[in-house]
Amino acid sequence: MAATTASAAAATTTTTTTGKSSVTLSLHPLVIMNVAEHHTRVRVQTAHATPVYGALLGKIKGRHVELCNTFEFKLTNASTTTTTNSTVTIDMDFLTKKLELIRQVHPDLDFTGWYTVESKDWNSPVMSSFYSQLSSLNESPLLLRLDPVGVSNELPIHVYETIVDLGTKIDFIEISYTLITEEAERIGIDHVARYSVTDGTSDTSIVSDQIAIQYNAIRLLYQRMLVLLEYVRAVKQGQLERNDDLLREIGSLCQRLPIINTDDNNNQMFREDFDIQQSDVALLALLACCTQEISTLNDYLNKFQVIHDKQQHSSGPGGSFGYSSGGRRMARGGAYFPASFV
Amino acid sequence: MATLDQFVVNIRQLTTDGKFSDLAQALSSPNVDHLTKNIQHIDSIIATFPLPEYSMCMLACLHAVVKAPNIPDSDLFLTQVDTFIQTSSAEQVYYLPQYLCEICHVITERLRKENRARVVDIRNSLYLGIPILYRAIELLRREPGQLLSIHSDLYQLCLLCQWFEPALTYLETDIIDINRENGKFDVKHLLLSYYYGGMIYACIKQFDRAANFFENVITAPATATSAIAVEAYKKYVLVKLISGTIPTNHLPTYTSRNVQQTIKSLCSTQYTELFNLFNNGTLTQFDEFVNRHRDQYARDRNLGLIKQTRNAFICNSIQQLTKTFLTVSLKDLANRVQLQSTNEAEKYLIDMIENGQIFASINKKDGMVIFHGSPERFDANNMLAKLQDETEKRIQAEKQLKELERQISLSKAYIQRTQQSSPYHDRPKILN
Repeated sequence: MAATTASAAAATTTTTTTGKSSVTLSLHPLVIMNVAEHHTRVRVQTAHATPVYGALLGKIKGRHVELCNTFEFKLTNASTTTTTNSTVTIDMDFLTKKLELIRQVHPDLDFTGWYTVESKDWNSPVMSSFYSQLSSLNESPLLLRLDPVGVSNELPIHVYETIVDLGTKIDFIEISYTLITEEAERIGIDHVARYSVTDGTSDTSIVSDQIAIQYNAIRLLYQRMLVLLEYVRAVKQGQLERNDDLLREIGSLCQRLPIINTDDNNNQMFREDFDIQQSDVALLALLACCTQEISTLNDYLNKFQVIHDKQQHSSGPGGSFGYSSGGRRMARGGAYFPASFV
Repeated sequence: MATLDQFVVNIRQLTTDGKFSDLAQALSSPNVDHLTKNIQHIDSIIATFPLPEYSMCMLACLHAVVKAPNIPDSDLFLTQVDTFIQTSSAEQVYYLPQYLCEICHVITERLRKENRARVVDIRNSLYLGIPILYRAIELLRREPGQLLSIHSDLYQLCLLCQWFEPALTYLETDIIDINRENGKFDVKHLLLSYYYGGMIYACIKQFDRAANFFENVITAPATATSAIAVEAYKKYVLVKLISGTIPTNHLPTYTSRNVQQTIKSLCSTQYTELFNLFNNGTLTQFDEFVNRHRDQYARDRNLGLIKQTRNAFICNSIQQLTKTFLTVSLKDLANRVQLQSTNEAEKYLIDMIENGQIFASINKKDGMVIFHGSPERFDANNMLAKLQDETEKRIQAEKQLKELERQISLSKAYIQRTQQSSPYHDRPKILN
C-alpha cells in the first residue's frame, strides 16, 4: 500500500512534499490581488473558467525572495479547451520585452517565477512546459498557485519551488511563505476587504450592516432608558415604592452621561467653556481676516505710491503728497539704479 | 434770435437721434452760449421740451437760468427743478452731471441767504430745498458709495434747519468713489461733506463716527492747508475728548506736513492744550482754561461742545480714580474730582453706570462707592454674533480693496512707471 502510493507519487512529476526549502519567501498582497483579479476578469469575460498564467516579479536577496508584483503572460496558443494535452506556449518575445521595460522602471525587480490559477489537481505537463520555457530567464523559478475552489481557513495560495530531478523530471516542492505589506498596500487591502465583500445571504453591503448594528444597539439603549424613566416617574408620583439603591444607581448613571446638549444644571460648566472657546475661534478668524485686509491694503498703497511719487525724497518736505514714508521708499528703490548705470 | 432758433432745432434733433454725447458737447461748449444770452425767452423754450425725452436740453436751460444774475421767481424755479428731477431720465442726466450740481449749489446758496434775511418763517425755504437735493443725489449717484458735491449742500441745509434724517441715510453708507462731474468736482466739496457730516454726527451724539469724519478732513492729502481742515481740527479735538478715547498722538501720523504745521501754529494754545489738561489737570484748572479762551471758542462757535467736554472731563477723572481705588466714599470722590457736592457726584456716577462707562455700585448707607471690574467675559452668544459680523465686514472691505488694487495695477500710469524702472538690467521687477 505504501509502495503503491509511493510509486504513484513518484510516477507523477509533482510532489507536494513540504520539506526544507532552499529559499525563504515573502509575499506581498498585491501579488494575490493581481492573480485573483486576472482570474476573475478572464472568467467573467470568457464565460468559462480557463486557467490563467502570468509572471511573478520580485526581489531576490541571497536566499530570501520577496514577491512584489505580477503581470500576465501572453500566450500564443489560444485554445485551452483540452486541458490534458494542449501545450501552452508563452510568447517569449513579449515576455522579454516586458521584462526589459520593467527593469527600466524598477531596476531591482527580477523575474522570479510564474503563477497559475488552478485547483488541486493541476496540469503537470503544462507546468513542466512552462518550466522549460522559462528556465532561460531564471534557473529556479517559483510557481504560485491560487486555488479558486478550495475551502480552507487560510489563504488558498501555494508556492512551489522547482527542482530538476535527474535531468528531466521536475519536482515541485511546496514551500511556506509569509506575508509582508507596506503601508499603502495595507490601507488598500483593508478598504477592499471591508467594503467589497457582500454577504451571500443578504444584498446589503457591509457598511449598512454595521450601521444597522449600531442602530439596534442605540434603540435597545433607548428602550432601557425609557423603562428607567418610567420607574422614576412612578416613584415620584407615588405609584411605586421607593427603592433607594435603585435610585442611587440611576443617579450615578446620570452623572456619567455626556453633557453636551441637555438643559439641566450640570450643563453650566460645559456651556461656559464651550462659549469661550467658540468666541476665541471666531476672534482668531477675525484676526486672520483683518490681516488679509491689511495685506491687500498694503499692496494697494505700494502701487499707489509708485504712481504718485514723482519726486525723490531729497526734495522738499514730504514730496508731492506729504507721505514721508513714501519718500523713504523711493530712496530705497532708487538705490538700486546707480549700480546699474556704472 | 435766428441763431437761438437754430440752436434749439439743433439740440432737438440731436436728442431725437439719441446722440447724447454730441448733445452734451453741444450744450456745454462755452462759446455757444445761446441760452444764457437769451434768458428772457427761456420760459418759452422750456415749454417746448417735454420730459423725459428732452431731459438734457431741459437741464441746460435750467442751468442757464441759474447762471443768470437774478432769478425772477425762486419758488417757481424750485418747483421747476423739483419736477425736473422727479421726471427726468437718469441716463441723459449722467452726461451732464455738473449742471445739476451747479443748480443745486446755487439753490443752496440762495436758500441760505434767504434764511439770514428772513427772520420769521426761517425754516420754510430750507425745508423746500432738502427734498430737492435728496432726490437729486438719488438721481445722480451711480452706486450707493459714490460722493457728489450735492452731498455737502444737503448736509449744510440739514444742519441749518436741524432736520437730520435725510442726511443720515447718506451718511451711513461709506464712501468708496467720487463722481468726477466732468471735472467740476472740487476738493472743497469733499472736505465740506465730511466736515458737515461730522457736525451732524456730533449733533446726534455719535461722537466716535464724528471724530472719524473730522479725522478724514484733517488727514486728506494736501499741499496747502484749507480753512476747513483747521476748523475740523478744532472740532476733532473736542469730539475726541467727549467720546472718551484720548490718543497719545494728537494727530494721526499720516496728516500732511503743512496741515500739521498750520494746526500747530494756529490752534495749539486753545485746543491741543486740552489734551494735556485732560490727562493731568483738575476740574478747576479746566474751568479756568475754558474761561480764558472763551472768546475764541465763541468765535469758533464751539461753546456747546466745550460744555459737553466738561462733562467728559468729570467722567474721565472718575474713571482715573478707578485705577487707584477699589472703594471710595462719595465725599472723597467729590473732593478729588472737585465737584460741588456729593449729590452731584452721585448724579454723575449714576449716569455713568447707566451708560456703561463704569462698573460700580453705590452703598447708600455709608456713602461708599465700590468699583468692580468689567463683568464682560466675551463668551456670550451676542459676542459671537458680533465677531461674525465684523468678520463679514472685513471680507467685504477686502474684496473692495482687491478690486481697487486690480484697477490700479492695470492702469496705464502704473504700468509705465514699473516699465521704466528697469530697462537697463534684468533685475526681476517686483510687481507685487
